[in-house]
Amino acid sequence: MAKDVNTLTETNVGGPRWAMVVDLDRCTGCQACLVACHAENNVPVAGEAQAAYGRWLHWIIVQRYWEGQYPNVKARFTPLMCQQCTEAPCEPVCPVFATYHNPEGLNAQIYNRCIGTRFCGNACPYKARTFNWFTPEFPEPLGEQLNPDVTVRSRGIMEKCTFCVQRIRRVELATSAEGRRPTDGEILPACVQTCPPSALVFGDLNDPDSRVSQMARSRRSFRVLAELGTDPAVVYLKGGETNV
Amino acid sequence: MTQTLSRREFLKIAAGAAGATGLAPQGRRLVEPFARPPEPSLGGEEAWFASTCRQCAAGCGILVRVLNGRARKIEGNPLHPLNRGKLCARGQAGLQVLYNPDRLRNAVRQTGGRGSRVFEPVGWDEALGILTEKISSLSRPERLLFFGGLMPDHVYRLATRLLDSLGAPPPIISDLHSALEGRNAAQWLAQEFFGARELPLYDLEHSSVVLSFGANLLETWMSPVAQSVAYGEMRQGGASGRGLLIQLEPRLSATAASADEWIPVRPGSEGFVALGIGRVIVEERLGHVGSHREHAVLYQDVEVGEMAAASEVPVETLRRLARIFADADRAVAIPGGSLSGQTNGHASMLAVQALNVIAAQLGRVGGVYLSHPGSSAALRETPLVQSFAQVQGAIDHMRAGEVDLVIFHDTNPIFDLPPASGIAEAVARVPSVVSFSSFIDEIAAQSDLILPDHTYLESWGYQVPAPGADRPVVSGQQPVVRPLYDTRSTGDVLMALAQQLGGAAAEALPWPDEMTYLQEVATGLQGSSLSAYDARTPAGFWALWRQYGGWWSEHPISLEPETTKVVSSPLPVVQPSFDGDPSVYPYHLHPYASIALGDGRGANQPWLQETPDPMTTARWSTWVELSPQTAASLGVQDGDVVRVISSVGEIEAPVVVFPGLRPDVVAIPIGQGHTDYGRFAEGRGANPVNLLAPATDPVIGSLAWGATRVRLEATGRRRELARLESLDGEGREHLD
Amino acid sequence: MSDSAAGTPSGRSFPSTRLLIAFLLVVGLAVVAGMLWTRAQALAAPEQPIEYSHEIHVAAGVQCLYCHSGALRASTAGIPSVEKCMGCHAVIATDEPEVQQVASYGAQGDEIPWIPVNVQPDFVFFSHPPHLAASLNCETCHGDVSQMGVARPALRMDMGWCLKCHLEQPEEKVARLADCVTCHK
Repeated sequence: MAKDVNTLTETNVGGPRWAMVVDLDRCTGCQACLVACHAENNVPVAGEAQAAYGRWLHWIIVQRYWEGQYPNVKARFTPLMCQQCTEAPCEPVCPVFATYHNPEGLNAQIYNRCIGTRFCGNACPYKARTFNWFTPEFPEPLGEQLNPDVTVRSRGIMEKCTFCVQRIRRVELATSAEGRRPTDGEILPACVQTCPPSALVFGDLNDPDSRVSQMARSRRSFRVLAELGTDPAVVYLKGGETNV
Repeated sequence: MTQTLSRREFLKIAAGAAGATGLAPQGRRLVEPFARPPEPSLGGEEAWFASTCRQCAAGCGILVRVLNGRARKIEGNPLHPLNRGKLCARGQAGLQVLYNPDRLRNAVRQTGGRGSRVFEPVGWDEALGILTEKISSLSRPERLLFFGGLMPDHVYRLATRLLDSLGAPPPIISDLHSALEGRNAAQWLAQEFFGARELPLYDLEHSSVVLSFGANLLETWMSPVAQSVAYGEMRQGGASGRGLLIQLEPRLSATAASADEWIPVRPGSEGFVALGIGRVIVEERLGHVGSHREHAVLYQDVEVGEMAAASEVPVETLRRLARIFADADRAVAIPGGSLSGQTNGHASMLAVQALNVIAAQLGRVGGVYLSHPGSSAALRETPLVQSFAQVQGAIDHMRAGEVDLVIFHDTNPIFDLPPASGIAEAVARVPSVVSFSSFIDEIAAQSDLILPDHTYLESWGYQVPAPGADRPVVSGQQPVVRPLYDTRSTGDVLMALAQQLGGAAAEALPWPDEMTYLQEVATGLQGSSLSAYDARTPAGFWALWRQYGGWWSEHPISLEPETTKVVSSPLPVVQPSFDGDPSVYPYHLHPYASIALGDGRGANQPWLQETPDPMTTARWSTWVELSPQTAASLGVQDGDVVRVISSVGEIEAPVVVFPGLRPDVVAIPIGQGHTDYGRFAEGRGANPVNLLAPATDPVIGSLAWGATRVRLEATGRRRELARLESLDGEGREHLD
Repeated sequence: MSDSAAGTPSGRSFPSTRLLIAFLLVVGLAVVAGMLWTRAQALAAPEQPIEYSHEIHVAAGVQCLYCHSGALRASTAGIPSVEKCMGCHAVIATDEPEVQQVASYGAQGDEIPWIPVNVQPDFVFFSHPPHLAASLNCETCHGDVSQMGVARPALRMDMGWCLKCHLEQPEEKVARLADCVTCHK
């Protein structure tokens, strides 16, 4: 892996800076995160024809890489979602500022502003952004399941992982009503919550004692395509090796 | 433009401009608050209900988020000892079962005749009347057959009591998922080895070395969520260092991808590897426990070189694995579903379990346990899965005209069983066929009367998970929404049936409805000193039961297994046999359960259809996995359609070139090939079960689903698969 | 190219320049009229299935939160159920035709199809609790409801209006309040 050229820049001093850690030693490729995300975020199903054409809309995918030749062949899983880059290539190219970097470190996507030029999807080196080529259909009564906390996007709108910002907001509102700040591990994006081997961890990087901060300091840590200078807020921990 | 503007065009433009100014009438939204609000309702506030997932037989605890009377999201129940707040892909997709557009909305009769798919609604009273009449008019109670899947325990109990009171045979329990995971074989093994028909628990979480023989622990085998939770801790939980996982199977499954090493074992010879390892341990006196001495007799008939040759795993590898296993502090060997899918399954499973004996890991941390029933012993009427041989016996009865009424619940044998078993013809011979299916699946399409059950999110119930957790657990089920349609819970139907039949039946099921029965059963646990929660009254206990999502012990309790005399005699060495002459059918067929579709029951949920298979990233279809060598020899590549032919059937599907496969193996995922079951499932892909010869393990009677040999033919056609990965440019899918 | 060069100059396509100006004026007026009319529509009280008068109920002492109870703790304030109305109106003012209409809805177990007055598009996620926690009272945004007959929106609750107040908040809060993702998810 190329040496990490950025340190995770400190932003939003005094407030949270959201980040995720993906422990590749734990990920089993089970796709639970993918389905949980569809359910939580009203992500539509493209259907076989469009999915074959590459027009699927998963906000998180599990990439599988083959290594070696039979019989010494290995396969590795890498869950990939929007990396919430601090220096996001997708933000400067939007002509209507539908995507911007919010003070908490999220790369925010505002659906009602998006006009569907798709420059952002083009600019993203992780190909984490997906586009609604068609108006999503939810044959009744599947529409009863839709999450009212998340906008249902129509045709022509780009969408991507938001770190379940609706959950972040919900917990923040609830805790502020109780007069406190959220504790570490209280905010759980859908994928993090469901991941059976607990490969995904979410938290505040501005809190040095949070789990994500501790895990990000691991010697196993790296970031995907870090050499591009995107400064992603998702830290991966290398798998397949001992901690010793 | 040289034309003059016509008046018509002018008016059109003007109207358009007017519309642009907002002169067009605005739509007004409507809001309809409740007429009578449910008690906990505050608009926009969520309520969480604890229940049990039923997307597979594991029985994980779930919490369902309900807003405005609609179920929005399913999560794992953090308090539930089995899955500890986590949930798999299929569990997450459960909402698409509840809100599926192709659900049956009322009881129906197939008035157009079986297979016509012409149904007409029938009132429940009339439907119950028909069923009562059919049962009462049986000439002998033995002519009634109840065919069930791994239904929740309470339905199993009710059905068993009812059938028993009528003098009818007990339910036949079988489905494809349990055949693939070898549930029946695992029960047999537990009986043989430990003298108890309890599915053993393998303490993955605390193991330092795990030898998994064909157990896809992290996908569909037994209790995948609990196993995955344990796996995560085994890797990076920190408590006991990083554990090692070695996977032995013919195909590099997603579990093998997560493993540290994959050993491509010849199908049917996993047991030989285990025997070889055991023999090496005994011969070379390996291990620090010295337990090999008393068990040397097990390997009396085993010769290492023969085992190496038979399994095509070199002697050096057997030696190396033996050392790893014997030197480990806490090692465990797991006999998985693939073993039981062979004709020598019984021998293989004994061989693998024996390794745990010589490593002295029975009842020790990181080893093998049995579930402790604790206070839940009284509730434990867990369905024991029948072997395929027993199922075949029932099929033969039907075919011989010895059954007048067959009832199907939570199972789809026309899809699940190899056609070579004769299931379709057998069902056709039975004069009355009744189904409780919530959907028109293949078996419902051949039924006369369908009494649709509620889906699991609308149902009451309880289930003792098997395999269990580290402590006694009874998982509770409750409706999270009001039933959407005019369906009825099968438990209630059985009780109503019993009342109408009267006599012994009415006495056997004296409760007025399911909930009363459940309350009685649940509150039986109230006095237990093991409980994780306290209640002074039965009503209080029932309330806590529903809040927690069941009952469990506060502290871990498990049983140390004791071995039977099976460990005092030599282990059998049995060669596998395969259907099909190797010179005509050169490849072993390895069908496998799909992580998204399971055994096919997930095919009607669009989220699951669109879920990429972790190894091939393909979805919405069936495909044939060929090793690069096989593909080259056949002259095919990704997307070319091949015909796979066995001695009893053939299917066609596009190729996926799969690096992690033995060259003599062809692998095909199970789940598609439905002819019914709704718009998302129908007419899609092919069912590899149609290729299976009805071979069995002669000792256990389980279906040897891995014992069919096949041959391949290129068809010259192509069909692109919907794969997540882009196949042009190898940069993304190969690392070197 | 040659066509337009050889073709008639613009003046000849229309009857005359004057007529063109007149036509544009008419269209312009129509547009302005349309804008004024739709604005008036937006601020008008919509036609409700029952002529419920806030004025009467506030005068009777009913608190806002009694019926719109979600405003304190939930993400939607809510419109009261028929049962809530019947709580009083089973005995109060039973001779009024409007009340009898409510009673008939209740007797049939039907919901009353109210037209919501203060409602945002579905890509706006407004939540009352933080506003109540900031000590805003209902009249600040909803106007003097005690003077309203059938409910009407007091003002256009568009984004600019929301932002105006948000930007006037103490400095340490403005960053969060002006963040798009706070209201659009």
